[in-house]
Amino acid sequence: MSVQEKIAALEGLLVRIEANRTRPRVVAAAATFSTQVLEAPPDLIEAEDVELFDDEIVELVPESTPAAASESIPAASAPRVLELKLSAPPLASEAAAGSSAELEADLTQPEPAPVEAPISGETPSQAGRHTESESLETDFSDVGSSMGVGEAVPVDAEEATASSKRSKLPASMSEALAEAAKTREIPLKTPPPESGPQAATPQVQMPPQARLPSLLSEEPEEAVKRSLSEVQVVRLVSEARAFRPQTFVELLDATLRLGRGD
Amino acid sequence: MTQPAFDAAGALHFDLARGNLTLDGKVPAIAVPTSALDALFKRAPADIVEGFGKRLGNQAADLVRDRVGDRKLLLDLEAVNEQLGGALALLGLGDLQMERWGMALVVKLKSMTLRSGHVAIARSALESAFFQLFERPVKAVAVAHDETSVKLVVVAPEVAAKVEAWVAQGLSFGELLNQLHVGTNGVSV
Repeated sequence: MSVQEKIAALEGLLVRIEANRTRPRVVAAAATFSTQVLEAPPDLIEAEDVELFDDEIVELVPESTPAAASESIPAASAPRVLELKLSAPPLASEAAAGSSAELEADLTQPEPAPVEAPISGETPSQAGRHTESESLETDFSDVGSSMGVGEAVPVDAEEATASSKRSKLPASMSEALAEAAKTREIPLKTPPPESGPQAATPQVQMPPQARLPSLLSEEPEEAVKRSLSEVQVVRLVSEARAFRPQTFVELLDATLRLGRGD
Repeated sequence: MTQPAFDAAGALHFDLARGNLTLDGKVPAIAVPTSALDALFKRAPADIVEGFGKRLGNQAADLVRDRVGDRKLLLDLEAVNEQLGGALALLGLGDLQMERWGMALVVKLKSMTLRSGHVAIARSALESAFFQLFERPVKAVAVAHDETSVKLVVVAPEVAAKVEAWVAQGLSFGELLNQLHVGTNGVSV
């Protein structure tokens, strides 16, 4: 196709767009959109015959009006939405069928950027909620229902992985013992104690140092008690305690006075 | 009161070039194996052995004086035991342990390496050291001994014969102490 032919095709497209501007919106035809049947408008099918480069399309976007952009939505998003519906599980498709009215209402309203919704893997209704609220906050409360999984599949029906299981505490002691008996092998018999002749204990030889202490290591009070009566011990001890020499010379002089009595 | 420890620094000076040994660098000495002394004292008369011990006692007193300087520093039993015991240990006579039993002064020498004449040498060494240090004539009577230790009671010279008689009679240590204290300061048994 030559350049002249492309220009002529584009001009023809513009003429058709100008002519269809006053007509009722083609998107309304998508109100009959279902998961099984999806037909693109005849005008768009014809437009598909025109081979367009991407850069040429981009140049036309600023000139297009919001209405024109909305008209191009079904052509661009319909196949992707269709893929999403077909890939959904049967339960999800049933749930989506139940909410077909909502889906139709969303599709009939002009969306600023509904094209992003199928790309991100969301349903059109879900994408519509995001754009309506224009909020960045993520609401996980309806994730399950929007995917059509949470309502159809009970939580308990899903079996958790082995690593996510937590050990349960036994409810009673008997239950704990029963659990322990399963995991532990308790020997029923124990080996008998060793019997027979035992080795005799060696005789302990008393070392020479273990003999009776000599006078050198004799304690003072013990030595005195062996030779003196209690009265004598009391007198001697009291006398010895009363004597408190201040110097060594005083002690030496007192020592030299001893033994002079009869 | 903390007593200064016996200062043994430089007590023994070895001049290996000349083959000399000195005490405190001024008193000529000789290192003699105890076996040689034992062999000598086995055949030596008692007065020779006691004279040997007396000279050791005098030398010990000199070692104490050289370190203490003033006798007033030898205030109490612990100080005397530390300084005199250090000097006797330096000479190799053994471990000195002094005790007070009432008014009696009891001295022990332990870990002695001499086997022959060690009792006489210990007795005479203590008597001479006490006289040199305190100017008191004393007698040390052995009341007990074994191969390495001697237990002595310090008494006046005029009482020593009586105490030796008590020991010969077989009085125990307690009985001996009792007899020593009889008639002293009103104590009568």
